[in-house]
Amino acid sequence: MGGLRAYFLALVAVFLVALSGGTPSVAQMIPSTSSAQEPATVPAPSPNDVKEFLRLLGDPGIQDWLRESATSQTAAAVSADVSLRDQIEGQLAQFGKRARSLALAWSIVPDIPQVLADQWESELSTSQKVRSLTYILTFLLIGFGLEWLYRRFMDLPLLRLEQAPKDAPLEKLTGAATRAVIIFGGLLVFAIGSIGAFQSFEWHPLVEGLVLDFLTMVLMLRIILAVSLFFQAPYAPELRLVPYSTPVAKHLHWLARVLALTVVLAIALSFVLARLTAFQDMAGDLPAVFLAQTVALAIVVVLVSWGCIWVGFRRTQILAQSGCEPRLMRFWRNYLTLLVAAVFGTWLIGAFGLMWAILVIGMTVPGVKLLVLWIDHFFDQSTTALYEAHKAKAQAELDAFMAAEAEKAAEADTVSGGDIAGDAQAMTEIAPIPPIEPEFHDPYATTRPIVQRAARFVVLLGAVFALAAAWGVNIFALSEDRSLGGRALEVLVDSFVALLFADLVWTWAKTVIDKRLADYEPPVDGQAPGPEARMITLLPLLRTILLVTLLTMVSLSVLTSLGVNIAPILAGAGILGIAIGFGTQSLVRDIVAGIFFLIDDAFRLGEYIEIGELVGTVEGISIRSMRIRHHRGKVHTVPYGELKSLTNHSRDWVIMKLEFRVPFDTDLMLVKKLVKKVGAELAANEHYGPSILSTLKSQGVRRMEEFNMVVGVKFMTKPGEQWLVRRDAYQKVRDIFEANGIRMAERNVKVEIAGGEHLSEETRQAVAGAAQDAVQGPSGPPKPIPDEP
Amino acid sequence: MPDATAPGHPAVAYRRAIMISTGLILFAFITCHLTNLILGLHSVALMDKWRWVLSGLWTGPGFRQLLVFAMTLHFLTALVSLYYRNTLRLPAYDLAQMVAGILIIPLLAPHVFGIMAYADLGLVATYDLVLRFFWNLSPLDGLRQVVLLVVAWLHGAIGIYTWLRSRDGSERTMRFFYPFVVLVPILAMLGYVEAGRQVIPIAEGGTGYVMQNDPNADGMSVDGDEAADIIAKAKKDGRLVGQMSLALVALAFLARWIRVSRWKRGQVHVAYLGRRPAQFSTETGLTLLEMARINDVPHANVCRGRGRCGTCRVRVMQGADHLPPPDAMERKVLEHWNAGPTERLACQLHPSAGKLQVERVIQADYSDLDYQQTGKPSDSAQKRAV
Repeated sequence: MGGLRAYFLALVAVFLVALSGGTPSVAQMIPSTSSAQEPATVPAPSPNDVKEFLRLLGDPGIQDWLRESATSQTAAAVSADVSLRDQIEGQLAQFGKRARSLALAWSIVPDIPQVLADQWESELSTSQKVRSLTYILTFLLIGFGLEWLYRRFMDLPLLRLEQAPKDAPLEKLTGAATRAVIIFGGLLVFAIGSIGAFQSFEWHPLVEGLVLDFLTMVLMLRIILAVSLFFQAPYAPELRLVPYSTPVAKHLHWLARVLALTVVLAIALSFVLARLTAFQDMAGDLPAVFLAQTVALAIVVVLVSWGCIWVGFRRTQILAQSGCEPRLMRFWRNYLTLLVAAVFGTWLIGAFGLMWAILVIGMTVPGVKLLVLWIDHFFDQSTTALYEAHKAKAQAELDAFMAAEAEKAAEADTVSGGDIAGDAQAMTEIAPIPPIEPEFHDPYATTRPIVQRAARFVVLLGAVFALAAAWGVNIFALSEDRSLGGRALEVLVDSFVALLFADLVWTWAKTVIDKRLADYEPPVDGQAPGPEARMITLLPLLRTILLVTLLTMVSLSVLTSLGVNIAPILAGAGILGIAIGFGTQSLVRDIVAGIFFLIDDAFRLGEYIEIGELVGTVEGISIRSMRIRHHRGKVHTVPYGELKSLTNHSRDWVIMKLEFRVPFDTDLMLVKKLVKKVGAELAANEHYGPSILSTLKSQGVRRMEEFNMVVGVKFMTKPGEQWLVRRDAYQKVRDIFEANGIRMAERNVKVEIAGGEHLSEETRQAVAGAAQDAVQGPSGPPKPIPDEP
Repeated sequence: MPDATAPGHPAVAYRRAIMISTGLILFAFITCHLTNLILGLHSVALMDKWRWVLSGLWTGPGFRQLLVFAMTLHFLTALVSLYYRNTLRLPAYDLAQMVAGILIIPLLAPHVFGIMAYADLGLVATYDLVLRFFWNLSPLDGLRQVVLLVVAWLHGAIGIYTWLRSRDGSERTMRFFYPFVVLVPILAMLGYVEAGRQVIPIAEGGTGYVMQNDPNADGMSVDGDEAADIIAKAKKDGRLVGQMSLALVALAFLARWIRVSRWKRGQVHVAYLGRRPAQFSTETGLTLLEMARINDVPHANVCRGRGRCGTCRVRVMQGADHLPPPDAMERKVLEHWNAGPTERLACQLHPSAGKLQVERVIQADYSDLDYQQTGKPSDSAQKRAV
């Protein structure tokens, strides 16, 4: 069997080679050498010779040898022996030959049924034919039976999958993919049941070939339809991945069925015909009959494709009702029609390389467009779904709030019994603020272009490989090909791939960076900037560095593939880099250190920091240095390289502790209560109240001193707010102590003067003052407390 | 089968009982016959060794009459059912069963008369002989046998499948039934093919299976002309019976068409509430389940509208007053499920003209049923109503 297939492949190869032009492949060796030796009149080889030749071609060993020798010698042969003129001549000769064989095929069209019938008769007896049919039927049924059994156990999950409501497109995608997996599992079972069961018997070779062809055809057809089902899901709208309605999906699925059936049937038939003729000598009319058959089948395929294109565009426009621009639709309809015509035309004249190029490129262009549109649609759907969910959530919150309000109002109503004044007071007290709908962020804004680029990248890469495969070029062996064409192709492929990669990376980086830049909101005056502020300084720099790097890498890789030796360039760049590096050592150090300080998030714009001796608010951050303004107006500029350590006073929270000295006879419980009250007042302050994280509270007696107790209080605020709070705290505590008869302890020196009853008041005081000085030293002006803004 | 007979008609129940009992007899015969074919995977000799049990018994006295009787009764009842069908837009399984059922007799008759002709010719219908006939002498007849095998098995399997599924505790039965119903015909076909591979080479001058102690070694007991007559007669009879059966089926269809075309039709507007809501307007005459099916509204129905399983129950929200009351059979099923007063079986409910609002009791994907506990509609096969 394997031999038969190889035989057939070899036959097709010879056939293609004899008619195709262009690519350096196994086959081209044969006509070019023979035509060089024997110009014009080539005596027709005897049938036996041809048979022997074909047998040799069918031999795997010979095939390997030919392939090897072709790859190693083609370049030399093409560049050295065959000039451009020869090539063109050869090409023209081939066209002529093709035209002659087409004419011959055309002339014998009326005889075809007869020839085929004879052929059919001589190859297979009637009972063999009917038996083949029986086998096909039997093994198809076995496949279907096993698949049905498989489906019994898969139907419930499948049904759940199809009927369950799906909101997010991602759910849809996973649902559709799971369904596809289940369906493909069924196809696998079918394949095992039909082809596998068939292959486990020994058969008459021709019968085996025929049956296998048809079984494979059915399998192929089903695979194509399963793929169509995966995207269009005509019977399960919940799983549809494409943006159109059920009628359109059903219609397009139907068209896909027709087209797939035609193409697969045509291919299977031509295989069967090839099998029939493969056993015969190539003499006689058979090759012409074969060609005529193939052309007829191709014409059928072309006609059906045209019909499908025409009907498809027409019906879709009607069914879809909206959303498709007639001009655009017309354009694509004509485009596809012309594409089919062009492919058929090039195939007919035998320019197979050209045909593949037209086919691949022609399909890639709309394919990429469709893919990008589809991804767009997919993300649109996702975003819309998320937005809906977001809105529903906000609405629910609002509703809950309203309900709570209403309940409260009703409660107040019943409690106060219609006391209007109380009601009004309640209303003003609560002052209900409805929850504001939070802003919606599209989480896919950065993913979308990347996915689009990546998809395009994959498709284009696939197209390149498909084209290479069609031309018989091994991309991975291009570097061994020293011919001009091979070199050019290699350069093109290399540069293309490098460009695509760079483009992918650049798009990703640019989208992410631009998104962050666009999202940044400069801080409102008086507020500390958020963590984004540092990135804003950094990102444009990174973007530029990335762009330059990518450009350099791409141009270097293009240069390499062009054959330019880039080692000197690299060396030059290296030397220059070292020179610049030494010269700007400290500059580089500053920049690099700065990047790391920024990444560490050590400081941000507007923060109050302390670097060694210097304190102040960060006013500016540049690439090399930062500017700090002291609260008294001095501006310090500090290069990052100089920073060893850095103290930040503006992070998260600040605790401030205050002390009051009170006499020993003070009621500490009262103090605690009063401090608490002051704390509540402070927290209720409308200006700084919200900035207080933990309001003023008493910490009790912190220590005892000679003449008094020290009562500690503390509070916690956001950075920067503590000064204001402290001011008010002192003031309020003092006031409230005074109002409640608590005296602050004062230093008083009691001087007992023995026998000094006679002294006048003034003298007593003078003595007391002298005594105080003696105890404490002269009381000068107090030391200034540390700087504060 | 959605029947339009008058509510509470006992004939419906009788007909179903007849259908399933005769069907089971025929299915048992086919199973034995196919089992005999399976032995062909080993050898033709083994097939012939077991022929007297697996096939011979059934064609012996008593059994033969039983088979013919069951077959006739089954066919006639099927004609009546055909007559009572409201719509021909059937779910795939019902359609397959119907088409297969129509095809069986025309396909089967030549085989039956052919086998009977062997006796007249004075030959024993050994597998050796019959296989040679089907694979070598007349491969077209052999092809027909494969079609017949599949068609008959399909028809019987669907019937029993539907019958089993709407019974209590079918879940366990199904676990065995599925593999059985697939493996028997597959192995039989493989056996047939393998046996063919053993006998084919002989006709082509090669070496193959030759039967030992062949009872047919002496040839026919009648002379050539008579034999030709017998063969021609068998062929003619086979054709005739096939054509007659087709004519009867056509008559049933015609009668059905006349019955349906005499309906007075009105418009009914149906709205499905709840999950996956839908609404449509359609002509009266069909059952609610058929209407839903025609309008692509998914609907749970394990027994495919035979009024047995109760999975197609709907809650009538509006328009209940002008609906016909449930018949005895429907009441029984509804009671079995402890259904509420507004619940009805969609497969038995014939909505009259006007407006109707209903809600499914059981979702189309059964997501609200706990299978394991109720043990009722254990299996999913037919839930795709659309």
